[in-house]
Amino acid sequence: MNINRRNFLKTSALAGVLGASGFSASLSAMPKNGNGNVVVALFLRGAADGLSLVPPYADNNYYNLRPSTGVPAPGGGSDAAQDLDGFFGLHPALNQLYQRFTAGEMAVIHAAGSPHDSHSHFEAQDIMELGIQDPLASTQGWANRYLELTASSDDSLFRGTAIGTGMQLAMQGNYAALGIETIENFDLLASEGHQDALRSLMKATYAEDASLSTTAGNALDAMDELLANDVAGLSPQNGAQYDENSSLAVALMNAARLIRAEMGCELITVDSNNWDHHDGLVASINDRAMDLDAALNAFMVDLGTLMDRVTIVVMSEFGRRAYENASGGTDHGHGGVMFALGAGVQGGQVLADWPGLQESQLYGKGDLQVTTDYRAVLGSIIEARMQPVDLQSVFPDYTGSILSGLMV
Amino acid sequence: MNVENERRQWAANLGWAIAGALLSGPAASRNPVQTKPAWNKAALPEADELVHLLNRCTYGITPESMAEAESMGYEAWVDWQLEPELIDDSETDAAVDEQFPLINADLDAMIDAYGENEFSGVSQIIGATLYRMTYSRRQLFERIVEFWNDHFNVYLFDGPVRMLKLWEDREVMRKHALGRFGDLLLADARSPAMLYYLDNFSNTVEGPNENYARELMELHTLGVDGGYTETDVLEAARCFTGWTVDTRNEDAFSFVSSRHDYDEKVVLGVTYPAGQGIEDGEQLLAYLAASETTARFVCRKICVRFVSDNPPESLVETLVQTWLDTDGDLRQIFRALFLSDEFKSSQGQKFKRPLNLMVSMLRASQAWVLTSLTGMGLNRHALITYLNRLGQNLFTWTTPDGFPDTQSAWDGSAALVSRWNMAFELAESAMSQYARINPFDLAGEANTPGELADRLIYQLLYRELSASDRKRVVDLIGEGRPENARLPTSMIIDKTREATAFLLASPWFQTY
Repeated sequence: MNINRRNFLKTSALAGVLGASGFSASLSAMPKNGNGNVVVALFLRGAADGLSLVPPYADNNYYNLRPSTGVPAPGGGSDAAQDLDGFFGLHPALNQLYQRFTAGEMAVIHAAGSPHDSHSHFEAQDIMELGIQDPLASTQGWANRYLELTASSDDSLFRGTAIGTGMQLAMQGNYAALGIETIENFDLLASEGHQDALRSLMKATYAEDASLSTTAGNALDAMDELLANDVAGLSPQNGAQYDENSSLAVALMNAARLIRAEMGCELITVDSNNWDHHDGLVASINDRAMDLDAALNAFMVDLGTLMDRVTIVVMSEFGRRAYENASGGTDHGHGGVMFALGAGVQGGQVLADWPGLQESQLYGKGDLQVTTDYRAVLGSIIEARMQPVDLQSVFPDYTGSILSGLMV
Repeated sequence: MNVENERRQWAANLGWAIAGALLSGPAASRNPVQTKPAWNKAALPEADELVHLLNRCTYGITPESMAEAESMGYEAWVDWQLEPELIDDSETDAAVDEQFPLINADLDAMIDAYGENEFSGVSQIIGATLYRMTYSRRQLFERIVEFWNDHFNVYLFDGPVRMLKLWEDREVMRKHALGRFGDLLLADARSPAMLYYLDNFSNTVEGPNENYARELMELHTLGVDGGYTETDVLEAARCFTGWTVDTRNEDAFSFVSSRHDYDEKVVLGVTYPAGQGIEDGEQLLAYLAASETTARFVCRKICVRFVSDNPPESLVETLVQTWLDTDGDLRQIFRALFLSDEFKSSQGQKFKRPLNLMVSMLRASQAWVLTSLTGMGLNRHALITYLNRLGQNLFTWTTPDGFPDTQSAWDGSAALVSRWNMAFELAESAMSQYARINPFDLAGEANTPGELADRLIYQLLYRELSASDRKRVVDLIGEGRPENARLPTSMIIDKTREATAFLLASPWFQTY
């Protein structure tokens, strides 16, 4: 790895910023993915309904607001919630995650989210991924900002890896993060006799392209490293079963391979789609929850003892309106739920400054309030698991604190 | 429960100075043009005006389309393409009818077919759309139809949208693509696919569903910063109560008065008096269509699609003025766009989206394509596999904002690798069952590295390369031979494949 290819500081101004933060001198001693820990940030796109995933079954108002879609209280049959702490339950489809919760491997953070008032999926996703409240103030995602602030000249190409067809906004920005759809497809498929000539011509011509040179150069180099480590040859371990028809499961399977192969991942972003339930909430969230449950569980089973280094955080752009609509669904709301799993997480607890569901306690047109900023959650994970960084610089306009009690 | 959130303050004093630098300094790259110049003019000579026009207004230049444009001239070609109903495209129409019979079927027949197999419409709308993009002579029309299908996006695999999309593409998008925006907006509001996808079919006085009303203002008309409030969304939703789907009607639309909210509504300061029925929604749509905020939002979006990720304000304002002068006459707006100086000087500023990249590869290389695959077989088609891998299989964007338009959404390394491989597999005969080039046709009479390089560069790129880039292609072909050395016949075909693979995967083919 060399600094020219990496182009990790695209602008000279940032060098000054790094210098000012006072820890750049120690960077050269870091291994290629910091301290070896990995954080996987999973985004549930479409605004997941926190009040179904983690129903506050003991809140007297819950079933008034959700007469036909409320998840029954524990003990109410196979469709009922699984009890978490006597007040909150976990959706019945999150069965494997319930085992993780009781085993102390998963924590729930409720009434969490972004304080921004937006009820637009797209604006709210942008805001959350940028890590700031003004979507026009920066085009750099929070993950990218972290990576840039902690960059070193011997960074692995895989240090920031976005898994999926496109690159999540959280990963976009000055730091050249890598995008991978699947490891199998991340190779040049030219015919045998043309491989070498085409590869070198691609390298030469893309190196001169103003907007694509870094991405293309890193892609070509990353291919070489994947081949050299036979990452495509790694199969799931410990009997883990990934559903090949689930895009989330496939993404996590590939994330697990990169981690197992020690490619130097520090921050990985993955997506789960289709959480927008304006109608038919009961059936559709059951389907999504099953997918989430199976995929996350497979990932944790697969990694086995490697999970000692891996922390997962799950978020969504906002929650849904507290009361259901006439279509048996819910419209766009505000506060939602987050999950944290794996290394360093003080599991088996629901962290919630519960705002309540009485009419006077609801936000705006009838939404759950946000009492825990998602950046308090991300901040506590970064502080506990990742490299030393000034969190204020990762989330520049956040004035709150981190969520204590979440991480060891 | 009852966990005390003991919160620690971040070390804000040190942080703020750094935060300020990040948000305001050049490192924040507020202006993507600054950090990502899409066009390095010094490295690549500009193509001529007509090539630029065809690059943007078609799905890729073919020898025929170039000949047509050359004989007509710039402005006449634009006008010709903007009257697609007058263009003889009978071959394409006949092929579509034959291969994709549901495309022009009536609603009853579509619904019957859906009843027999709920996926029967999916492969037909994807297949027919790809067919038209690749072969239609109404190229600009197809590009504009694609724009409206994105603007009013529905997700093809959302329940009955699998079939209703066929009707919507024909009766809403194609019918009104070059008409008045207000007519298009109204037709879309009544479209059964949209009514289903954004849940207005179940929006009733007893329980309003605000999904459509919100996206109508956020995505279809005013834009997220268009000045509406949460109250406006709720009030607008009440205007559309009772608008629903009824497949017994010819257009599958129904206004069910018993579900409508007859009380007064106020949206964006306009009162819709008590006692009105369907007029509430119709008047609100007309109000939104006439709004200058809508004109500016939609015109900017058109410019982002056809001109630049950061289009010049002057051009946006020209189009807004045309919109206001012509009551949203889309044909006039597009005409003003393509004849503008800003458009003509925007060469190379757009990064091809995956679908456009793929079809332009097929058209430029005059590839043979298996078009007759229907039903579930379509999923096995190598080109569909690539579109899925690249995230742009037709009509499969799940959320109502439609496929993104700007480069940063499409240029990650995962996407780049798939873009290269699509070119390699097409040119190297690795997907020959589904699509393949004909290297004999591409090579023509070329006998030397120089001749073959020039021929391929011209046919695939329709432009000159810099001398050093041309030499790279010559050297790839000649493997060190002088550029005027005669090549063995056996080598010409192999080198045609290799050089075609390279040119289609090269940086010069990614932008336009």
